[in-house]
Amino acid sequence: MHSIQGQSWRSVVKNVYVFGILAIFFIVFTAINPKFIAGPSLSFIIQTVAPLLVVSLPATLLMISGNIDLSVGSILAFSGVIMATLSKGGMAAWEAVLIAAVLGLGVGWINGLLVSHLKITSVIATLVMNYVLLGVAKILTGDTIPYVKGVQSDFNVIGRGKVGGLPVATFFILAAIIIFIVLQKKSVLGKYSFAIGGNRDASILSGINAGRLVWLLYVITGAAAAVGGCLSASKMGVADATSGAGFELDVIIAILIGGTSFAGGEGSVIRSIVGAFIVSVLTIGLNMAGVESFYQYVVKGAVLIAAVYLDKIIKEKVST
Amino acid sequence: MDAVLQIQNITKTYPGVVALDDVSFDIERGSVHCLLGENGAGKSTLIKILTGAQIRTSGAILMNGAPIEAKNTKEAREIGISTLFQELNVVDQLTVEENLSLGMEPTRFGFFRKNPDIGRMLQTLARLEPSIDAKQLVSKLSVAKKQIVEIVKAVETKAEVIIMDEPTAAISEGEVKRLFEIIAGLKEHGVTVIYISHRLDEIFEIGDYVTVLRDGRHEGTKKIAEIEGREELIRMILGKTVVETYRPREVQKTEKYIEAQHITNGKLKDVSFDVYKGEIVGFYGLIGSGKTELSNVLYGIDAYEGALRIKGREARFKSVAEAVAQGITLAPEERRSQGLFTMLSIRKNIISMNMKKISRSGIINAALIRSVSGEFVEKLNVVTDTDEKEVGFLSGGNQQKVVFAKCLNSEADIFLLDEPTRGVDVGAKEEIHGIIRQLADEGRTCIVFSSELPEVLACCDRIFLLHEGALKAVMDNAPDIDSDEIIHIVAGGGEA
Amino acid sequence: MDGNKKKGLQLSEQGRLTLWMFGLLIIVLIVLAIVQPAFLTQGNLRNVVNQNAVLVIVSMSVTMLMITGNFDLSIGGIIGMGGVLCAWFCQSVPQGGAGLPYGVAFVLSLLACTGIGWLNGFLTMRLGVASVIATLGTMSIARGIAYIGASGSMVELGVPDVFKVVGRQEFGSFLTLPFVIMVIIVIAFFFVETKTVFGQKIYLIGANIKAAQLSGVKVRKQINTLFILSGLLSGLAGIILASKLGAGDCKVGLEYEFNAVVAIILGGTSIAGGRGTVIGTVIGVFIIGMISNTLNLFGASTEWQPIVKGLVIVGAILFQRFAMGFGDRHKLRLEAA
Repeated sequence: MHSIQGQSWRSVVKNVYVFGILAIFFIVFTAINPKFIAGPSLSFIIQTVAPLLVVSLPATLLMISGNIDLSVGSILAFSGVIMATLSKGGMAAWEAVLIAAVLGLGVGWINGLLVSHLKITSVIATLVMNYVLLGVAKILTGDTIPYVKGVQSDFNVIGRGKVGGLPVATFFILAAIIIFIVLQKKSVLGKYSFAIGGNRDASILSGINAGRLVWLLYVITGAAAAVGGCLSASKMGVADATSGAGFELDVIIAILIGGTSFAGGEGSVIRSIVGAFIVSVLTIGLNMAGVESFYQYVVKGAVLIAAVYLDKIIKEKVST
Repeated sequence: MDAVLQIQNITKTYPGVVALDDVSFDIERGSVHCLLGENGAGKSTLIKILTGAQIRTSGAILMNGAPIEAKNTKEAREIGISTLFQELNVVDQLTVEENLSLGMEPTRFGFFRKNPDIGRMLQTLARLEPSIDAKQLVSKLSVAKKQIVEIVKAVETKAEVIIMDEPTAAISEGEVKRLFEIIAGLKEHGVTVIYISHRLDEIFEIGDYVTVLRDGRHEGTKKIAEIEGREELIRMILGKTVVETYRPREVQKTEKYIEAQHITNGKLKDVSFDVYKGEIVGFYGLIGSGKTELSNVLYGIDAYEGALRIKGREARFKSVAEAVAQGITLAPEERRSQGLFTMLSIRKNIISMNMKKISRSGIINAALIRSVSGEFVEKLNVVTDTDEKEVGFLSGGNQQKVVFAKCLNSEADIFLLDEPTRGVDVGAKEEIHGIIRQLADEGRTCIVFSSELPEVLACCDRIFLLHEGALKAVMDNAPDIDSDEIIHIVAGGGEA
Repeated sequence: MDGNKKKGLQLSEQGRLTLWMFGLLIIVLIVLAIVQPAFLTQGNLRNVVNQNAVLVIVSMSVTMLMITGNFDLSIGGIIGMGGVLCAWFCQSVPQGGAGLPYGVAFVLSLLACTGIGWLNGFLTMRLGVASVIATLGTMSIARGIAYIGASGSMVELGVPDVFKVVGRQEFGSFLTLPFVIMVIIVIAFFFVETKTVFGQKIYLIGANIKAAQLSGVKVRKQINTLFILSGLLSGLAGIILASKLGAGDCKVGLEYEFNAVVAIILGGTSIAGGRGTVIGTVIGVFIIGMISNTLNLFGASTEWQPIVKGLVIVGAILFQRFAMGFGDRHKLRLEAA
């Protein structure tokens, strides 16, 4: 009985601390710049967090299964370029998003092929994919950044538009939250991700097709990253092949700050939601505090390391 | 006889080698069928064929009279053959309940439905081991309880045959008793158990039949009741009679090599003892009695309070490297995962503990490496054609000799030997005991940590008995030592 | 069994692999010379050799890290940081720099880069953070420092002329200083790998870290040293690249971690650790370099290179697996014996 309490204590502590960090960031940024609390309207935060959140949630399941996807940044940029190019060609935004998502799904399929079928370490496989896809995106854009403002009027809708006073991005966020919480709690995919990340051999022996599930997780993550890319490009009004640089870092920070274990077997989609908000608030807060964007690299690197270290401390203090 | 499994003329050949040669025997339903043989005799090949991990070259396996053809462990499980491997197949991060139903949950479109079987599973669990809470995380369970969870899962997947591969290797004697009760219960329910163990006593305790393999051939299958004592079994396994008894040694107790005073830490309670130069002492106790913890203290891995003097000098090691520098060496319990570099050559393994000897100012001398390695391969009689062979290719006994060579090369004079013959076949066991005696005769001190009483009795001059982290008694070994008394003490039954 | 027959040519598995790699290098060389005659001209070969020197330099310690089972993703960031810091330290004060003598700037920036390497070691070895995550974090930090130092662009004006020597000095018509530095570093690493206790311990750690620890190897110190070396060499590479360019550009060094990984794996180092050689990596760098160069000669845009490299790396991993497959079957036979 005692040990069960130990376990749930740990998740209680983790839940408290992620929300705590979010609260601290809010307070600190408000203290630095009182406009922060009033300044970025909720819609702005939502529009900023949307791409990150949509990608972080499936990537959380992937990390719980003991895998990582370093190619999400390039998928994001690549799909933004695809959507912009199609939109420039006169296609409606919704169709363009759909096509981008299918392509992202294909990229995820290849990631899954490399990791699950060809058994290449996920770090290497997705690092390679990251740069390959970056190359593809650059080939597509050539030397020009495809500015699409005004070309197709609905290009900006999903990133910036509003429906009944709510940003369109809200619906993407809500959909992602519902889908992935349900997947984690109720589906084979969710439960088995924990089993695979915890003990792969035992899962396979229990009849779980671990390779295929991880493959599926890569496919979902790929598609989600593509949707994220469309949200991001649409919000910016511009698609740039290099816009995904550092995005994988944001995703990993959001996941790890939520206490998901890099080694797999442990984690929570819900805490990653909070994690994504923490990263976005950090970005917006730093911007509003007048911190040059260069410094954000340093801050984010430090936050990543701090998050992992904090998680380690919690694990040591609470589990024993 | 009502045979659940019929093994008919199984032959398995690898290019140039016959691993199993025309092996045939039947396994009776609801019996405990023990499988014995030296390492390399073909036991593991046979198990791998039964579980589908390897494909036989010829022959047939019949289950309930019908031929079966499992292509992997999962298929074997579906046919009704479950295996308890030494590396347990439970997911630590899930609860007991989730582990029980893992992979068998009824689903619809990828989502879970209510599991109608879970109630029955939990009942079985409660019957076999009421102390396990189904909501508990498996990571919190002991090895023995994890085994029970696996057994419940096997039973609930309608396993007719459960293969247990050295299930008692890592559990305490109390837990062994519980396991044997459970095996007896399985028999009553008509489940057949194929039981593999190196411990002959266990085979006499729970076995109904025993099959012995030697050099890939079927040496014989007998009813345990018809076997006339251990010697007959050993004769079947080895083809010759060997029973080890303690040969008293003369030790000049002049120079104290280890003086431990009031060693205390989380697991150890005020342990004090002295060990002399040239002595072989054994620490015997159940799992959790503090053997590993004590060896960790002596080897600089764990912190402690109290005083430790090594060869007359105050020692407080902050790292393994410091302990090694002081002339202490460890042959760890887990040979493959802690003692050896299986992907490297014998030569590289042997030099790994003492690079100073084969180098000058950090630069290595290849000729010296060759001669050092050659010397130890010969001294310890490592059977190999070249010392450039990867250690992973060697048999268990030969691997352990390489570990000893590595320790010897470190020029240590205190040897910590943690379960020195675990997983080693009977013949090599005796050879290793011989090496231990030789080391001590040459003036080194050997400390054997073992959970096998026969081993401690066979080669140690003095025996230290541990119980729950405390040193309960010290006994001088003698050929007529009272082993019942020892068992009484390590089980917590008071001082000698 | 067949041990006696092998006596004639005693080659370790590492040695065989390196020989294979060398053969592959020559084949690639011949094929490229045939498909693209411009490849074999002296000027072009000079380019290939000199352009890849910097990648070889950074890949040396990363190879050793990979053999121990660790990644270093921060090298690209450190390269950017090293170049920018060195330029900024010696940039004249009126132009916004620190105005230090070049020698001091050189040493200080190397120290800073070594510091990042030390941080990598500290995070992975002391705090137990997975090396992928730790070095991803420090990559961001180092890149951030590069951006800050160069205010998002370049440190160019007011940089002393001596700054441009390391990257541009030539010896005769073929050799450049970066290439000479590369040769010295490769020889040093080859020596360390094959002839020193330090090198032996790297393989012990890669083969079984737990057993290495219990054999008295100071694992933590060993890997720390490699991370620190990695920081130092990346810093040096950054200074050379900046010197070639004549400016500290904060964007220099992007993709270096990718290029290094491609070359290392192509060079026969196992992604699971325990196996690999620095010479293999050198060959890997040059194979990739030659292929990229030929693509350039054919007029393909540089954006195609990562795609080709991606295919090469996947092919290399599969080939290694295939080659190892033979080994496994061999092993099976021996286990049965």
